[in-house]
Amino acid sequence: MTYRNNSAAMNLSGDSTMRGILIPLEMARVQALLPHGLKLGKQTLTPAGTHPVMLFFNDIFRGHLSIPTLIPNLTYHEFHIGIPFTYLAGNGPYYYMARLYLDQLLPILGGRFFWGLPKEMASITVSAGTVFQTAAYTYTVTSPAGYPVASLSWQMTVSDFQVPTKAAYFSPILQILSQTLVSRLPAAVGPIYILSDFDKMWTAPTARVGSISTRILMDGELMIPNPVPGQPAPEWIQGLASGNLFGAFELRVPWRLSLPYPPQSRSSVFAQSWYS
Amino acid sequence: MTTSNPFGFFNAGGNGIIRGVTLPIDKSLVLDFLPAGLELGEQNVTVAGKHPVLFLFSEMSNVRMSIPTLLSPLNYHEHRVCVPFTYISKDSVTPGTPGPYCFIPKVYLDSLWADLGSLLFWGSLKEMAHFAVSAQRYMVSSGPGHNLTSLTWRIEAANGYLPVAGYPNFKLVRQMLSQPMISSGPVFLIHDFDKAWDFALVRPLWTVLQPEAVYVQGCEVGGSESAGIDSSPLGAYELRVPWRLSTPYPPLFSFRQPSLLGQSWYS
Repeated sequence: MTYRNNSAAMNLSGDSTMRGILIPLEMARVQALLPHGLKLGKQTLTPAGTHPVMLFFNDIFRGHLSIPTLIPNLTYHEFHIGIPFTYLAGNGPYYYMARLYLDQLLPILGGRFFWGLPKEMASITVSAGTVFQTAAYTYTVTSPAGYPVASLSWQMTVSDFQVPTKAAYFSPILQILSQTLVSRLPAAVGPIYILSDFDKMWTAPTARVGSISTRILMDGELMIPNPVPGQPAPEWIQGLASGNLFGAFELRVPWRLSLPYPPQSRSSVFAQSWYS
Repeated sequence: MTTSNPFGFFNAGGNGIIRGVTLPIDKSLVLDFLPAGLELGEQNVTVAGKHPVLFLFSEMSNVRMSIPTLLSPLNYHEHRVCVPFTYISKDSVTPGTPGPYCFIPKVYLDSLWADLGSLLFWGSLKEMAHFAVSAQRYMVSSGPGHNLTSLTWRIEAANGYLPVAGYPNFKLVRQMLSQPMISSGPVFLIHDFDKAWDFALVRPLWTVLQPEAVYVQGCEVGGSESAGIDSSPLGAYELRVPWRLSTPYPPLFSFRQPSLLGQSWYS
């Protein structure tokens, strides 16, 4: 959010550890995740015929409004599927959160009814164990009915933490994460589109990013095809690096979410994040 | 609770066998355990950059209210994680003594009545869990096949039970265990969890703490071994002590000054 954004006067802020990975999916599959009115736009991160989709397995800490309230502390897990480079009536690029699974009711209610984000309840556990003979953590998202939604295993050692703005390999992701959120009111159903600025404090002393080796399992409509048909899936996916855009990373960054505002009020200056 | 604390009139009390381990954890991780409005303060237990976190594995017995009730005394297990030396931050709306307080990011127990009592009188719903306790192991699980954490211990016959003063290193632990508990806000309330230190007995334990899940969000700690409290202030111990828990009250009426920490009504 910028100093020009009046909707940022009151905001929700907190801290986060985000484990994310960018995957290329066929455009038709990605378009199917978008509601009517949103369109995929031009991008250069993934090959032609595909569109980038972000998977985020997040720990959210101390979410709180910038004004005193009686709302309790919001510390929860959140898994979301994000689609960057989406356009609304030719304007954008925006970041659309197609699915969000959380394990706490209050942020679900606030997110869905105030910010228009399609948040759903899930059971999310983080366990420590062994995956492929390697000590690893596993972040498991399960639907209320007990069906698996997604899981992420990651190795515990991250050695190369850097300031996000100085990590060259992180630059494309930083660009994506700086895009304005687009969502729908009422209750994430529509038809009214709104925008909100989900800013990250990239230069905060605690902000850092490192690449992590991961193993991701998705289920149902989110299932990711084996990258090489006929070949077994790799045990571990290498982390994000300069030559590997489709690797995972762990990002630690404080964030602020502005109040929603109508698309018409957005000026070009909003694209320049206060923090970036 | 002190003699001048009127909120101590109505309380819950009982006996506890508390097996405790103090781990020094990176401050940046421990900060994630705290709600908005609380912050970590100065402490004299760990080196700079770290903060002590207590992992307590308790067996509570003969727990009853200070007023007549129809409930029979309760016996239950309880596992709690405590962050001592937490302070109310300057931008909080809660007035009163800033701290130090002990924040409890996670409590598990196995008694429905104790859980309901906690909700009714202390305003906090604890999480139910399954406990399996043997002579040398205490295991907490959220269900079959879903282990959360376990503590395994060993005892040396030469180091038996002594009054708390018998193990000088326990002084710092006592200081932390005497800090009032603070709620998760946004309007913070505190309550005194006092121990009858004059009647308490302590003995060192050699322990292995083995978390199998990240049940406190942000706490990425692996298994850790601890020597006994006789060899280090961060050592493990078994504490047998009667305790009392006051009703919640605002920090504005804090009855305990920081200099008096460790000197409870019972000491």
